[in-house]
Amino acid sequence: MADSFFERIQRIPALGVGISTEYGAGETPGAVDVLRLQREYPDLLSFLEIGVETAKGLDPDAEAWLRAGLPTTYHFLDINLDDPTDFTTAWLAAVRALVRRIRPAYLCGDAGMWHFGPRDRGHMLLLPPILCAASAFDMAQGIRALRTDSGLEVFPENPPGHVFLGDLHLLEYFRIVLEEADTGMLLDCAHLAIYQQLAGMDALAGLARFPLDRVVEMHVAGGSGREHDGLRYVDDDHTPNVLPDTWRIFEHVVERAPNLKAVVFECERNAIESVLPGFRRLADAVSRSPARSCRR
Amino acid sequence: MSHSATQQTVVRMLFDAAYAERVFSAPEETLAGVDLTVEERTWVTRSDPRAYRTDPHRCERALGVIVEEFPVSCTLLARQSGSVDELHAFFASAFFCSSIFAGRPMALAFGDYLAALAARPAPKSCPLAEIARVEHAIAQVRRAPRAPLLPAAAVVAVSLAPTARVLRVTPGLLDYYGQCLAVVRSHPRGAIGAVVDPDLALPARPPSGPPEATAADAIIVDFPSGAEGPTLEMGAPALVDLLEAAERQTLSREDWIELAAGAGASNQEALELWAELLTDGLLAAAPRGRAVADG
Repeated sequence: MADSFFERIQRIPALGVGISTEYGAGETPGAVDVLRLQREYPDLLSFLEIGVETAKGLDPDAEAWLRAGLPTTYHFLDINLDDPTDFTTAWLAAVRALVRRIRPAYLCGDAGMWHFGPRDRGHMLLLPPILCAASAFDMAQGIRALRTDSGLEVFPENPPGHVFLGDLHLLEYFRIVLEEADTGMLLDCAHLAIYQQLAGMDALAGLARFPLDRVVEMHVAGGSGREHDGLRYVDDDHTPNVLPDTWRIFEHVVERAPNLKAVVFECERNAIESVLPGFRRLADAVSRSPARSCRR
Repeated sequence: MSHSATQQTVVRMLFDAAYAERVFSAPEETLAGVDLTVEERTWVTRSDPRAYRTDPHRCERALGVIVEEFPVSCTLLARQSGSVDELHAFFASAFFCSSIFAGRPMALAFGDYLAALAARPAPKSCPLAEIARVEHAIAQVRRAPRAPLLPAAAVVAVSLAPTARVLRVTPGLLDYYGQCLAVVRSHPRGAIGAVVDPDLALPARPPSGPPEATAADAIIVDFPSGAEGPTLEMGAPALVDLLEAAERQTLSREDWIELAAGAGASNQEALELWAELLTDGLLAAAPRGRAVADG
């Protein structure tokens, strides 16, 4: 019988604190140079989470990071995990080829709708899944399929959104996904804070019943409060301004996630000076975490 | 997978505000054709209508992608109708729904939408219909599966490659399209800037009749292997006749020689052309031949 998640996770390396990127992010005026940040602050940054659309491949910043031989993870941006028809032969082949180039510690990414209809130009969006059991089972099946095909762990992330439908709390939905797929979770603290606010719940609601021993990675990102027609919501804009609820979730979980391997600060389009305080706070929290496996 | 239908309904509501309003005001009628359970319907109708409108630029971004592929058609449509309203109306059309619910690539659905608009009565001088056909064909070959390249000697029958199209157009259309494209692409704010610029001066179109009347020009739209994108070129009449025959039906080697002979080619010339077009990717190997109908 194949190893369970709790056996497999012991073979995943500790990655520490990382930064996310996606194709062309470094071209944003004033954006952080991820390699320079790592060289100047090696205690704050140890790995790169590369956001990948197979149609675009890797940009020069990602290539430079790979040439430096530094650790990576592969964050997919183009698969609807709950849709078996989305696992095309061509996409799977492209993923395998990129995995050979990137040699990531694992695959991860938002478990939601990355595109409507086919994987094609202009179809990209990102919506959360319908929070119901049927969707959770389909999602788990997709995760298992991708894990089998890639030979790597696949950790789903709770996506952002302003429209959440279904009869399950988001954390209950992902509990089902994780247990059915026998996998770990990339918990995005900012996305969870957005969900809790829209649901009118406390930022930590539902975490007491959530299997925190399956949290492998966490994301922290800034956001901005907005209002539309009286609806208050948070725009997940990845500024360095991390909102208090996001920090609450992060600091609650980091103290209770024994299998945590990595934390990502999603801030790649900002200036280095503006993101250093966030990295310092993350590094400090990780150093005090009981999840020794997260510390490099 | 009715949760997929629920998700697709959300997508439609995000892109089409009027549809979203109808979902909330008349759910039974509006959602009648959608495969949702009673519970899923309730999830949709009890959601917050305001949450569907938090991103006011969603359609604009999608339109930006469409304009990249249909730069001249979109400019002409905006010019003809006097606004960009008909471009935005695409997102409320059945054509766009075919992208959400039936998986049709949005660019191809937009090509269908343009064809429907262009079929309306319009001034004879308006080239929208023909330009839309050209840009639709470019979008089609860009997405077509690439046929495997086989040695010509191993191929027993051929058809027009999926990455090629032959279009009959009015004389001078290809030049006119090239001139318009240059003007649109050189707009200081890019193609989208050209679309919304009512003062943009497009080249005057040379006078001509509808393509059916003259059929003087044929454009070959092709996406050669290794190329960065599709190419357009005028096709010689004899070559166009052969490619159109290969588009209509599978041609065996004997069929091909017979057709080429009709254009004055020897057997050897016909087979050389057969090999050349297979190498260039204009023809693709087909499973087997079928006799070309007499005449």
